[in-house]
Order: sequence, then structure tokens, then C-alpha cells
Amino acid sequence: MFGTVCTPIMRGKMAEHAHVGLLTDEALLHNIAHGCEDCFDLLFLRFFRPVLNMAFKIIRDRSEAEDVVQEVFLAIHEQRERFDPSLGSARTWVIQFGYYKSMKRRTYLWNRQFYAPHVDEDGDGRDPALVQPEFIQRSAEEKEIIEQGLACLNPAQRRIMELVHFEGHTLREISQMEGKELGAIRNSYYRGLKTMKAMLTDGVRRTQVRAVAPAKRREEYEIEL
Amino acid sequence: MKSSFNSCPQHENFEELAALAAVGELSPLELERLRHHLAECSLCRAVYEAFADVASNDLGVVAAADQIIEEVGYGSEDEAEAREHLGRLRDRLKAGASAEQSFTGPRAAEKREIHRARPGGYRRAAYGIAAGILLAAAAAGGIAFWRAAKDLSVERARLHELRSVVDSLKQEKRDDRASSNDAVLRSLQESQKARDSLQKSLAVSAARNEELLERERASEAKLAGAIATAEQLRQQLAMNDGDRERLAKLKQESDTRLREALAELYEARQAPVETATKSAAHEEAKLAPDVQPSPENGASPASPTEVEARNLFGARDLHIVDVYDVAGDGKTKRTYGRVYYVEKRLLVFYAFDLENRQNRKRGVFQAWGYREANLGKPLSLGLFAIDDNPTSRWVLTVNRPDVLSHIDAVFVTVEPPGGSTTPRGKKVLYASLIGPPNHP
Repeated sequence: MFGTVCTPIMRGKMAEHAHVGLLTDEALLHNIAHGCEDCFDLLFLRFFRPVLNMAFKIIRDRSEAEDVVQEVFLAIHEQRERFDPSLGSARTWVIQFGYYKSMKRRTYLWNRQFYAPHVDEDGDGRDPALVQPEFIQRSAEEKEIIEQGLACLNPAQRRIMELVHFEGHTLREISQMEGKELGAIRNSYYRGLKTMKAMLTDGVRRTQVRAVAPAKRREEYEIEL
Repeated sequence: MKSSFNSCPQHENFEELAALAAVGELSPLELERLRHHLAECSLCRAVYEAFADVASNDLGVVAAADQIIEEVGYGSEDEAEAREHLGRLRDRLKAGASAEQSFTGPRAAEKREIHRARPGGYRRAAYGIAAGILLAAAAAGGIAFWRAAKDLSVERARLHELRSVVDSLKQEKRDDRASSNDAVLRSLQESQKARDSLQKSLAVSAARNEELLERERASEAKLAGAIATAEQLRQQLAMNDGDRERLAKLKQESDTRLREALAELYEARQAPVETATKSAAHEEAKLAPDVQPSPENGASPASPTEVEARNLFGARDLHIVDVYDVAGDGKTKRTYGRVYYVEKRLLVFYAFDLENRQNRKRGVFQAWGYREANLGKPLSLGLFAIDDNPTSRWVLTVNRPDVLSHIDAVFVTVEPPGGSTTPRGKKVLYASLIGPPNHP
């Protein structure tokens, strides 16, 4: 596949390009958006391992993680024109997509343990009551704000958030690791996520987060169990 | 933290459930509750979507950044595995390519261009295939609708069951709360009773304590009085000891003085007796030189000796008898006497005013002893001698137990000078010695 030249069908849509040597991730996505299947293959080969690692970290199941990888690249293939290079790098976008799909699958799998007959059988995880949000690419500025929001949490809340979202631990596992009651861990996670939501979804959050951060940190510390 | 449900505080519990549901951390019951609530509450549904957006999209950016940092290069094995998965992905893409009519991008336009470039026969065939696909899709939709309706009915039945379970749980909770309230009420009542009982006990204890304190105060007062009394008694005893010592001293002094007085008295008596004896002997020798006490009478000197006087004064069975001479007309005569008699051992006879004109002329005065029950001959006890001339006192001492043991009465007669062997003269004095000792 490497060293080939794009098909003549695509020549009218984008500049002719060779797949010899390295193309940037953004260039690959650009070419994919213009119908270059070879670039899609290159993108898959380039991001298969990172997305698989991300999915396995979140889901803890190899076959489910591999399935998530398939879902991710199917979605990229379907929504290839959605990537906006002005918001962030292609690499972040792909792995963020992998994270989004992994979390969605994780929630689906967890809920299916109890309500398998009532959950959509196609594996999409859509629940009429628990509607999953659409994937939205976040900008670099938003990433910085999110990191600041995490920094505003008290240490216990921040650690729980990181263990859940970045390490893929369940709250029960965290309860055993930290030697605390599950109820306390659940409440601490709830308050951390609530703080993040307040900062990221309220109207003033994106402009005032820097000013509010110290006061909010103190407040969170006071109500921490 | 300020709640997102200021206007709907009863939904605050579902806010936590919504946050936990965003990462699939709810229990079956909690998930069912949340599902039921979200189906009816748009506000909570929006909250849940916001949580899910933060959890799935926002935090994904940071997670992606961390993942990029952790990335390491992969080798040929990874590439082989990736190509295997890529092959599967390509198969899925090909399988779904025929149904991908909803694409809206350059590829879809490209496909449409390809379709437009095909001949009309192919187009009709394509229309036929599309119609068939539509029919199949309609049939599949009907089947899906039927299955959805069936699932909906099952879902409703299950929802009904769950609601009944929830209602029963609520009822149990209310019952538990009621029973708990009853138990708490009973506990409060029991506590009230216990408190009343304790208060009564406390009141009784306080009264008893007060009583004991009162008793203690009284006892202390009594003790103080007893101590004062003991002190007084001790002082009095000390005074009594002083008095006793003083009395003993006085007694000793009085005994000493008594003994000295007795000695003086004895000496005082002894000197006149000796003088009188000598004088009487001289007088008798002058008046009746032939009258001498007979040796057989054993008459001792007229006055008692010192030993006799001591025996007389210290006798335990002493008779002191006053003797009066009574005339024929019943009148007491001037002459009288006093007998000191120690039974069967000693007899001292003092007589006063024996002499008168007739008696002086007749002779001497002789004492006789006899036993009243025995009519035998009286025994001569001896002659009286003058003891004290100024007082006209006469004395006779008899210390012969053999004589005294045979008499119980004495009398005095006037006998011729020298005395007689039997009483012949006139009886002057008479005394009976019968009877118990009257001294002491």
C-alpha cells in the first residue's frame, strides 16, 4: 500500500499525493476526507495501537476493546469530514474519539449486565432514557480549561477522577484501593464531576474559571467527606 | 456546593445518580429508578446529558493527551495485528457499503456521480434492487416494529413489576419507620419512667442524707457535751482525789490525836488511881486495919491495871450496867454504881456515894457474885476501895475467870471491917449481868 499513488477518481478532488514517506496525521485526515482509502489505511495502522490501548484501559476486556477500535475507525470513516484542524491536532482527535467510544461501550456493558433484554442489541448502547451525547471535538483552549478544572478539585476528588477516567478503574476498585467506604467514593466522584460540569457547562465557566479556581478549591475541600 | 436543582430540590438525589450513571456505576435498582425518573423529568435528563458530556467528551481530551504521552513505538508484530484488524474493518466497510446511502460528503457525491454515469438498463435494475431493498426494509421495519411493540409490552410489564416492588419497598420503609417511631416512643416512655424513678430515689436519698446530717450534727453536739462532762468529771475526780488525800491525812491526824488523847487520858487516870489507892489503903489502914482483901477472893488492886483497862476498852462483848439503889418507897437513892463487865474474864465495879453516916459506922463494902438460877452460896468478889475521894468514887476490879464464869449477877453489902465469908449486911446495890453485851 505504501508507495502507491491515489486513484484517478480522487484526482479531481484533491492534490495528487504519494504515500511514500511520512504524511502528517492532519494530512491523512485531510486526504481521508477527500476519499483516500489508502490514507485511511495508513491512519488505521498508525492509530490502531494507541486506540486499542485506550479502549482496553477503559473497558478491561480485549475483545471488547478490539471491537471498540473497529467502531472508532468506522465512525471516523463515516464522519471523516468532521475533523477541524483549527481546534486541535488530528492525533488528539482520533484518540479522543477512541476515549469517547470506550466510555460509551463501558457504560453500555455495565448497564447490559442488568438489563440485557432491554438494551439495543446492535451494540450501539443507546438507551431511550439514558441518551448518550454526540461526540464533539474539543479545542486546545478547552483542553486547557478542562485541565484547570481538574486542578481546581481537591486532591481526593482529582485522584478519583483520574483513576476513573484515565486509568479505567471502577469506583468499587478505588474504594478497595483507598480503603474507604464505597458510598464516600461515589459521593466524592459525584461532587468532583459536578464541579467539573459547573465549570465547563455553565455560561461563565470558560471565562472565569481562572478567577474562581482558588475559592472553588477551598469550597470543595470543605465539603469533602 | 450549590445545587443545580435550586428550583427542584427533590431531584437532588437523582443528580448524584445521573453523575454515576455517566460512567455506568449504578446498581440495578438505582439505574431503574433513574431510568424511570429521566423518562418523566426533562430537567434531570438535561443534567444527565451534561454529566455524560463532561465524562465522555471533556475528560476525553485530557485522557487523549495522557495517552499520547504514554505511546511508544510498535514493532512488526503490532503492525501485523493492526493489518489483521484493518482487514476486518475493510470487510465491514464493504458489507455496509451497499447500505450507505446516507453519507453526505465527497464520497457520497462521488458515488452519485458513478451511479449517474451508469447505462439506463443498469439504472432500472438498480431501481428494482432499490425497490426490493425498500420492500425488505419495510418488512424488516414491520418486524422491528412488532418486536419493539412486544418489547414495549414486556418492558411495561416489567416496569409495572418494578413499580410494585418499589411500592412494597416504600411501604416496608414506612412500616419500618413507624415501628421505629413506636420503638423510639416506647424507649422514651421507659426512659421517662426510669428518670422519674431515679428522681424519686434521689429525693429519698436527699431526705435520708439530710436526716443523717441532722443526726450527725446531734451526735456531734452530744459528743461535745459528753466531752465537756467528762472534762468536768475529770476535774471533779481530781478534786475528789485531793479531798480523799486530805481526808486520809485528817483521819491520820485524828487517829494520832485520838491515840495521844487516850494515852493522856490513861496517864491522867492512872495517876489519880494510884494516888487514891495509896490514899485509900492508907485510910483503910487507918480506919480498918484488920480488913484486907482475902487472898482466896483474888481481888486485884482496886483499880484496873493498864492491861486491864486496854482489855476493857477494846472488848468486843462489853456489858456496861448502871446500878441504882431503890428505896422501899420506890424512890431512887443517892448511891449508884456502874459495872463494866467482860464476860467471864473481867469485871470493874465503880460505885458512888456508898458512904453515909450509917454505912461508915457499920464497916466495909463487899461485892458478891452469884447465879440467879442457882440458889447456891454467893461468891465474894472482894472489897471496894476508894478510887477518888473528892467524888466519892469506889472501885472494885475482879479478873478471875473461874469466879466470873459462875455468876450472872452482882450485889454489894455492907460488911463488918475485913469483910465476911457470906453476905450478912444490908444490900446496897444490885446488878444483873444477864443479857447480850450492850457495847458496842
